[in-house]
Amino acid sequence: MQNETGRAGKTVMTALGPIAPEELGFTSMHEHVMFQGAVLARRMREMIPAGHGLPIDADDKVSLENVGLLLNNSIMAWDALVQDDEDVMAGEVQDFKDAGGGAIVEVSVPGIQLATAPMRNISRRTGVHIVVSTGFYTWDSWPEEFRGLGVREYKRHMEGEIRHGVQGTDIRPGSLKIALEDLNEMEENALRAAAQLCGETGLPLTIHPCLKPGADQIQVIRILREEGVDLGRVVFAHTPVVSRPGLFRDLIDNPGLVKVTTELALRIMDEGANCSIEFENPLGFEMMGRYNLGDLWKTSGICKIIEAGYSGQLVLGNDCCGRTMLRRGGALGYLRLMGYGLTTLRDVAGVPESAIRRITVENPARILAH
Amino acid sequence: MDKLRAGAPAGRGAAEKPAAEKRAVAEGQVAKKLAAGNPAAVSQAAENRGAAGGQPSDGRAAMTVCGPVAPGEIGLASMSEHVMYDGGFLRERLLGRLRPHSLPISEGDKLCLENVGILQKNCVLAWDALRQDDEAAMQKEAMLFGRLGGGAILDLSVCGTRLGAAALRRISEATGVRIVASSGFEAADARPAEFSEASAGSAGVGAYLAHIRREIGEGIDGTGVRAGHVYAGLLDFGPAEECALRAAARACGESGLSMTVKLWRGAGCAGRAMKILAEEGADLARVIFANVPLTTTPGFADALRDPTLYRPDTESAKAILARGCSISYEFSNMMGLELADVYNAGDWAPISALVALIREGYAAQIVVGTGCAGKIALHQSGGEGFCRLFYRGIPVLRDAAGVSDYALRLIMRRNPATLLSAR
Repeated sequence: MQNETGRAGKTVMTALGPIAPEELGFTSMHEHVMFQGAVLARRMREMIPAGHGLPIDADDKVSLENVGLLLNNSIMAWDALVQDDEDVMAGEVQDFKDAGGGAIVEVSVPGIQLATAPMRNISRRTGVHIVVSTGFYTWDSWPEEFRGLGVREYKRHMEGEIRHGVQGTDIRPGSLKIALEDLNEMEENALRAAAQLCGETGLPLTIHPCLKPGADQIQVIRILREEGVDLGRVVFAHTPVVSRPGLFRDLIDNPGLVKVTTELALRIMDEGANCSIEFENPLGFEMMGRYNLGDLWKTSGICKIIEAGYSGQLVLGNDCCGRTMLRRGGALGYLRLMGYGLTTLRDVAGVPESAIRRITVENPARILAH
Repeated sequence: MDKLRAGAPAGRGAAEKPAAEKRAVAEGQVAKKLAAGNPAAVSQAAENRGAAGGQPSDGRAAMTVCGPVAPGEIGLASMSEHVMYDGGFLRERLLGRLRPHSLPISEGDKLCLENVGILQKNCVLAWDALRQDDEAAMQKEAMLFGRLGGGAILDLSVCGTRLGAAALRRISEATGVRIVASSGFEAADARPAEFSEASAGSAGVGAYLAHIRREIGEGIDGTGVRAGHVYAGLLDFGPAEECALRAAARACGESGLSMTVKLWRGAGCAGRAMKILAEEGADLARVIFANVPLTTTPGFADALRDPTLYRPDTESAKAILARGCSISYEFSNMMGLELADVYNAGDWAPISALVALIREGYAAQIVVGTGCAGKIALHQSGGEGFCRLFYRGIPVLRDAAGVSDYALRLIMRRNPATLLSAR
C-alpha cells in the first residue's frame, strides 16, 4: 500500500504535507512556535507577593532594559509569555536550522495555541519541517466552547482537524497533544478521545502530565491502556528527573533534598512509552520564593537514563514558551538544545554519538511516522 | 518599619498610561518608574544616605570619590561592585578554555536583545558584554540603586580595569550615591605592563606601594579622586601578585584603610595570603575576602556523574572568618561561562551556605554586593545591575531564610560603615 508521499511505508505529516520519516533529521520533539501563554500568568499571578517592588508592569514589552528582571520573574509581563511575531519566530526557527536542526514538533493546542497558518510560511522560509498538533491544553485554558463535553465531542473536534486541518487552515496535524492540570472529567474525556485517535490513526500522542497526586503518568498509562493505545506511540513530556522542594525556604536547611531521580522516567519507559526532557531556557519565579536550579541536575538525569540503556525511548526539546525564552528575547531559543544540551552530553558527559543520534534523529522519526 | 525593604510598588495601572507611553520603546521605563512612581523609595534613599544608622563617627571617616564622609552617611552599601570598568581581560584569560561552538555571535558584536541570551550564558564571547564604559548608563544604574535605598557602592576597579575616576565623582554627585574608589592591583593578567608578572622582579614591592600611596594620598590619575579602599586580585599568586598583595597590606597598615582580596581561583591560597597580610602589618579585621567559594566545586564532568558532589560548603569561609577577616558574597547577575565548563547550578547552594554562616554568628564579618563586572550584568542590558541586591539579596535572606533585621543591618550597613571608615 502506498502512502501520501506516493511511496510505500510510513510518513510524517508536516505543515507542508507528508514526508518520509528519514527526511526529518535532527528533531526537537517539544516546542512552541506561535504561542499564547496567558493561562500561565492567570494561574500564577495570584502567587505574586504584594509589595514586591519590581519595576515591571503587566503591559510592559520585553526590552533590553527589563529582560534581566523578566528572566528572573517571567510572569510579570504578558509580553514575556507570548510568541506572536511570525518574522521573529521564523528567525528563531532559522537559528535552529543553521545549527543543524531538521524538524520541530509544535505542540501548541487550544488554550495556548495562537496561530497555525504561519507554520507553513515559517517552514517554507527556513526549510525546517514543522509537525503541527491537534488536541487540548489544560482545561482551565480552554475556550468556553470546549468545556463540559464528552469523549465523542472531543474526538470529533480532533478528528475534524486531522481530516481537514488545524484551526480552520488546511494544515493537517502530525501529532496529538493532551495537557492535564487536574485530570478532571473534562480532561479525562479529552485524553480518552486522543487515545482512541492515536490508536485509529497511528498519530503519536504527547502528554503534558498532571502534577497533582493521584493522577501521575502511571495513572495516565492505565487510562491509555484501557483505550488500547500502543504506548510506543506515546511521549510523556516534561518527564521529571530531578526531585526538589518548590520553595527556596524549604531547601535552605535541607540541600540534600535536591536529587536526580530517574525512577519515574524508567518506569514510564518500562511500560513501553517514550519520555521527553526539555532543555528549557530560563523561566524564573524568584519573587514567588522559587529558585533556579540551573541545568546541572536535569542534564545529569538525562545521562543516567542513557547509561541505564533507555536511549531508545528518550527524546529532547527546548519547550520555548514565551518571548523571554527566545534568542531574540533574552535567551537561546531553540539553540539551547544544540548550544548547551548536545554539546554538554557529547563533550562533557561523553555520551556516544550513536546515542545522541538515536535520541535526536532515530527516535523522533520512529515516533512521528505513521 | 523595614528599612531594608525595596521600594513599595507605585500605583501603576496599564489603563492609566497614555497611549504614547504604551507605544514607547521600553528604554527608560524602569528608570521612570523608580524615579517618578516610588516616593517611598526616594525618601528611603535620602534616609539611607543621611541617617546615622547607629554608627558613631568616632573621628573616623570614609573616603568617597567626593571626599570624606562620616560612617553614618554610608547607609546601605553594596561592597563588591564595578562602576566604570573594562573586564576585557576575562575574555583573554578564558578564550582558550572555551569549547568549540557555532553560536551566532562575534567578538565585536554590541550587546543587544538578540544576543543577550547567548552572552548571559557565555559572557566572554563579545567584548562589549564585559565593559561598563558608558558614563550615562552607569549613572543610571547608580540612580536605580539609590532609588531603591542604596546608599553606597564600593568600586573594586583598579588600574588596568578602571575606566575613569573622574566619572565616578560625577556619577556620585549626580545620583547622591556614595562611591568609594579602590587602589591596588587586579590579578597579574589584568594589569598595565609596568605591573605585570614580567616586571615584578624589577619593580619590587616598593613600586607597587608607591602607586597605591599616590592614589590614596593624592588621587587617581591626576583627578584628585582619592582611593578609600585597597584591592588585590589573586589568580596564579605568582611574584607580581605577591608584590601587589604585600604592597596593599602595607598600605592598609599605614593608612588604616580596609582591603579586599579577590580569590579568582578559590580559597586554596587564602592561608598564604593571610600569612603575607599579617607579615606586612595589615589588620586582618580590616580585610575582606571576595569570591570565597560557598559551595564545593566539583568539575563539570564529575558533577554530571554525581550532582550531589555540588553542595553548600562553609569550610573555606570559616577558615578565613576564624582569622578575623570578613567575606563578601555577591548576589550575582548572570555572567555565565558554559563553554568553559563553568556550569550553572543556580544560587541556592551558596545562599544556603551564607545563611548557615549567619546562623552560626558570623554576620558581623559578612558584607554583600552584586559583583557587576560587565554590561551584561546591568539593569539596562540584560541583568538587574546593582539592584539585584534589592530584588534578590534582601528578599531571599529576609523572607526565604528568615534572617533577622539585626543581622541584615550588620551585613548591609554597619559592617560596610565600619570597614570603609578609617581615622
